[in-house]
Formats: sequence, C-alpha cells, structure tokens
Amino acid sequence: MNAVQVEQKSYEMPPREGFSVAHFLTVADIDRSARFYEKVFGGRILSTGDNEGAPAYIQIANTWLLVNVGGGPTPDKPTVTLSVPNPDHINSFMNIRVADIHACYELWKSRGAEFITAPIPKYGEIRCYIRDPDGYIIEVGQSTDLTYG
Amino acid sequence: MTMSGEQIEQESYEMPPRDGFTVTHFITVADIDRSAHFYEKIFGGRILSRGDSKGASGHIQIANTWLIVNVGGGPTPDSPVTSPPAVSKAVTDTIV
Repeated sequence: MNAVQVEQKSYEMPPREGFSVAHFLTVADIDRSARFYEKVFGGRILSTGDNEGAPAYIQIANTWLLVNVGGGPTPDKPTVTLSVPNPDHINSFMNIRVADIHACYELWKSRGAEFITAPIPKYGEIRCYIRDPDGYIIEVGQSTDLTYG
Repeated sequence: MTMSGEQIEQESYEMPPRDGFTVTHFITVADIDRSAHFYEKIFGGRILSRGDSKGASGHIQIANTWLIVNVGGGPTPDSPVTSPPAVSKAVTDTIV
C-alpha cells in the first residue's frame, strides 16, 4: 500500500476512502515506459501490468502513473479511443515543478532523458521539456516569480 | 510546511517545491475560469490562482496533486515543434 499525507489527510493507491489522483498514459510498450520513469525520475514500479489489460503502476513523487496500451471504446466510454500521442500535437502533459532546474536537467539528462532544449527563461519561470519514449512532452519548470509555478 | 505542503513516506512535497520535485498535470483548456470552477465544484479542488490574460496559468490543488490549466498556443522556444490545440476530440491521456 502506498500512502500520501496531505495536511491532515492520507491518500492511498488504491484509496480505501475518498479519492487519489493518478496520471494515465497510453503507451506502446508498458515495460519500456515503466523503466523510463523508474530510471529517469526514480519512480517506484508497484506493478508491471500484464497481457490481459492490467496497467503498470509507478509511484513518482506525490502521485502515481498508470501506463497501458491503447484500445478502442469500452462500455464506460463508448466514443473514446485511446492512442499514443501525435508528438507535435499535444493537449495534456505531466508538468514537473522543480526546486533547481539546472540540477534536474543535468541529473535527468545523465540518466538518459532526451530534452528538446536546455532550460529557457519564459513567463516568470525557467523551463524545458523532455520527450518520453512515446513522444509525450514532460515539462520541467522552476518558477522565478510566480507564487504557484 | 506550507498550506499546500504534502508529505509522502517521510518526504515533504509542496508547490512550488523548495527541494526535489513535485508532479502536476497540465491541461490545455478553452476557458481557464470554466475549468477551474469545474474542478473546484465537482472534486472539491482549491483554486490557488486564476491565471490572467498575459499567459499565466490557473492552479488548482486537487487531492494529492495540482492541475495547471491554460489556453493553447503554438510552439515556444522550449517546445518548438509542439502545438497544443485549445479544443481536441483526440484523447491521449486522462486523469483517473
């Protein structure tokens, strides 16, 4: 069991009460993605998924990633198909906020992360993006003048 | 620990982080206020900032993480080939 303490409340995965927020990624290769998030960000692989439809779970900092292959509509989402992204047309992504972007850039690059650019100052923060194995972008940002960046 | 601080396995997470890193979720939206109100009303999220017309995002704390919502736009110097659409029927990932 994985637990998260937020103020006076505990969040677990899976939750025994209330709810916990995780992040789902449609991927081409579950093992490849699990290893990427483990190696680059120090994530902890809690389950590796299987060929019968179970996703892999990876704990990463304050949340969990669920990764699974795509597929067609299911009874609970009859019009939705899940697929890996068009890497140049993205509408949602993990946004990792960091205390020291230059240290994270060097560390994660040394672990094999492919950054699109080095950190660039913009909009009151310094930020850069990683491509994950399926082409998702992962923002890495450090705020310089925003309260909640 | 701040009002929005978190603690996981003896390690403290907060937003913005003072050390290490904190994972959030960015969603491209058509209307920042509409989205912030949705996540506040349905899930009891806490709106920490509402963004502005100059490019600042809205921030909503929800359970163990934070949502960052903003309108779409074209490539930027640090994501030169990525163009988030403001409205898309394509679903590539979801919050569960």
